[in-house]
Amino acid sequence: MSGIELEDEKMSQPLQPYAKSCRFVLEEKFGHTTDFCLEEISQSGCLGIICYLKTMVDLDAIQEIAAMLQVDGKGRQFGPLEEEAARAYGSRIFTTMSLQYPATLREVMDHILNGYMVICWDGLHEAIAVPVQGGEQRAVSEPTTQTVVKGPKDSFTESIVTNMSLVRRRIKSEHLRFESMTLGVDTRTSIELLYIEGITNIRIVNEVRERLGRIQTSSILDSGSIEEFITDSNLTPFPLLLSTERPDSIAGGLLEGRTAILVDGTPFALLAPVSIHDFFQTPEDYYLHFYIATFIRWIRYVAFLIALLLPALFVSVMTYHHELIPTNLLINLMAQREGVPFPTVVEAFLMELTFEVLREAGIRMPRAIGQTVSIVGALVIGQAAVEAGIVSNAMVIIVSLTGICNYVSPSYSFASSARLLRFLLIILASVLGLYGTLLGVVIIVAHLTGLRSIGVPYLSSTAPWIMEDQDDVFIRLPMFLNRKRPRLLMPQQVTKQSWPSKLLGRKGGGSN
Amino acid sequence: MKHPFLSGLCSVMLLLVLSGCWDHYELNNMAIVSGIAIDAGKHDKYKVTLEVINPGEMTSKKLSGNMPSVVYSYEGKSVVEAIRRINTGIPRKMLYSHIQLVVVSEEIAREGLLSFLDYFESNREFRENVNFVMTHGSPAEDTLKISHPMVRVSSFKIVSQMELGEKEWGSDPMIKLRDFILAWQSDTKEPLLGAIRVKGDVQKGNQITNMRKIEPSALVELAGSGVFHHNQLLGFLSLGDTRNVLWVQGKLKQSVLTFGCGEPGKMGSYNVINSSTKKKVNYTDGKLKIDISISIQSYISFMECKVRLSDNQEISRLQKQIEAYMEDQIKGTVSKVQHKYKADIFGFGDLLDIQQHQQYNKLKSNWSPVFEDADVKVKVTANIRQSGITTDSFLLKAPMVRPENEQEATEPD
Repeated sequence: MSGIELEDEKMSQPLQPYAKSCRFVLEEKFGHTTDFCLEEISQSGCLGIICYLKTMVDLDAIQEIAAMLQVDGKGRQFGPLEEEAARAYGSRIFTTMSLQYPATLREVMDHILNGYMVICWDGLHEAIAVPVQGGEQRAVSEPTTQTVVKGPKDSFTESIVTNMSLVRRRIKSEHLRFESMTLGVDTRTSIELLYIEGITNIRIVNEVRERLGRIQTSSILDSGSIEEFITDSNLTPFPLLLSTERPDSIAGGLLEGRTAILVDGTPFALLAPVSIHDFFQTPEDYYLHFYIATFIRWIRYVAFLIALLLPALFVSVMTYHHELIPTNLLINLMAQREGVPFPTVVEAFLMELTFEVLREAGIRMPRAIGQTVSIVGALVIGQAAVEAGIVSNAMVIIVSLTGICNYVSPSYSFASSARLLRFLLIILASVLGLYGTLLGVVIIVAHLTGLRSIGVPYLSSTAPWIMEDQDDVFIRLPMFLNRKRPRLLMPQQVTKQSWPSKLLGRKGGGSN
Repeated sequence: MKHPFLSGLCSVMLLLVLSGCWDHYELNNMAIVSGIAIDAGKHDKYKVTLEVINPGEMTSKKLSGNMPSVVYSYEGKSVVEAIRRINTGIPRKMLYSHIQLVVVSEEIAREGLLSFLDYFESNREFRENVNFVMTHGSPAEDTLKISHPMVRVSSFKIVSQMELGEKEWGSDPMIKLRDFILAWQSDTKEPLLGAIRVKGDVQKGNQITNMRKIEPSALVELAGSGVFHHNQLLGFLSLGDTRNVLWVQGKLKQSVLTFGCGEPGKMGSYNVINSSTKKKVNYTDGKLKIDISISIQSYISFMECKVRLSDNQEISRLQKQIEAYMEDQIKGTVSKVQHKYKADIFGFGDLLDIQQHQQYNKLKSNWSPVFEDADVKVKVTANIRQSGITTDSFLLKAPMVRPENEQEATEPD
């Protein structure tokens, strides 16, 4: 450990004004990695080095800069104590570029690793870092997991700069803040904490910042790992942060008074804090007519309940509470179960597991075979199993309905929680019937009540009940009536718009 | 198990598994009982007959032309014993919560052997709103043995007959088990029970071929109702009387009235589309006075007499006719029940309990003579709304030859 500390100490000392010594240290640090380029330049007997990672830069830009250095024919002689010499030199040659002047070896390395080209000259106490970031990256495309019918079609990419600009273009406000930090000892992943000054509650921002600062890890490859580090509780199947690849979703969240976390290298950004109701809402709700939006929200709640409860209810009614089924339906179900060799609960487990396996296979399979898997799967479950008399038709209907309802949820990780809890409820239902199912629901609700997301109660707006927020929970009131930001986030500025003049005019008996 | 949380969790899970499942039955091992018939047994006191549904025959996909239900009888010293021992002949656990019909035979009803109803009321599986009915003449078990092509399970067929009979004409009182028990335990009110009978040959009717005939060899039909004193059958009321009883009780909404319209041998028919009944009882000077006022909405469905229906005066004359006819009919039924059976099936006692509670408390122990002496007044207000979709009938102008053998038709009794 002490060796590493010593190393760190050496790294953070001021840069020596000798290009040779820089070269020596950098070559030692980067070793023989093939993408590290270091070239010596000399002008009028003065020695300099330029270094960059060719995997991180735009090679065309390097060419241009090299040309600029050639053009600058004046002799380079820097006095050893010229403090501002680097800056003067930099701004003279590279006008209009946002240059950085790293003063320690550590900073020099960070800049190289982040795709800068660093120039060291003899006699300069600071290096000059020129932004020439480039390299291959994906273009902005349509979101793959959170598609909408009506609304913006762009989504985040793996490049954090692109992602930041996607958010910034939506919120052209001087109050939007980006706070950078680098996480992961090995990956040195750039992370941006986003919030809007004057709207987001400063205590939430501080809390998120503090939690991010506490992360000590070797690698951050996706926002999912950050989520597990900063979430309030990991002992829950429910996601406590909302992960989305939609810039409009992030922008909407920021404007409501939430914070967002962008991670370099993944198109999934995080929104925090969130309540359970945010997982039933999509940005599309605000682009559609509010009647439709409200109706669809209700559909989502119902679908979630079906995905969670239907197999358990079916098992309990089929094995314990036959009197609850209408007579004609019961006769029908009996006729179907005639000759099925398994108890209902085994049948349910069998089918649910088959479904989960098919689903996983469908995701992991190469695209070309995926089609075949789904057709074979559907045939195996739907037709062959029923015809062979191994499962009943009703069970196939129940399982497929449950599966489809699970896909209704706008958030993939939230839907997964229902997938998991469903099995627990089926076990309870098979042992205790409806009583057991209800018991399970009570336990789940009790658990939900105890959850918090960045300190905000997970069930908030319903428990604790916040009347003022109800304009955008189960029903979405039209935009002009939705005047306040959600109170559960305690935003610094609650009111987001005044009463529309049209309404006021009407109230005052105006001519409108 | 070192971890206290884990061991606690495990014991809770064990608790669930060990305590549950006692009432766990898979549908494959169960059979739905659709109806139950109770007769007096030959060897033992009761003979219980269950109609059990054969589910495969009830769904169109698996239909193979067999009987949709199976009937099995067992005798026992009590109904409970017979029901419990039914598995001597049927290989499945009986599911009683879907019973649609309980039939008792006339014999059982006459002897008053109805104490077994206690079992039906206290058992958690039986519903209190199961339809309760008795037979008129035939053994109760026969009613469950007759197949019919439209509703293939006998119990379901009888129940839908009863429901429609009550709704469309008033031919069945639709008594539920709970209604009967409430009337039985009442001080003054006496139970009324719908009756059914088998028409035709039971031996031919209990075969699948019965369903293949255009005119089935045997049929279960509604046969009015029976009047009880507590648990004992006193006698029967005809379909028409049953309808009138329902009218007085205020249960009737729709019916048809047919009677002579004034000219000899000619009939008028009126569809009653809505009806409301108001009753008042008053006990003064040692005599019970009962005022029944019924107001009906009707339309003319058929009119043989030459009546100009576009004329308001004619309409009000017809309204008077309806009123007179109905008052006469209903008075007749009430006085028949009063004097022949002396049983207050209408629930006038309950009304007095509400209106004159003190008097009721004095009279309730000896209600029957009070009811018999009661002075009953019936007032009907009839309203004719329309005459179908035409105003004047074409019969008004059409020349007609009177058929020779046309008889004086009366309402079916």
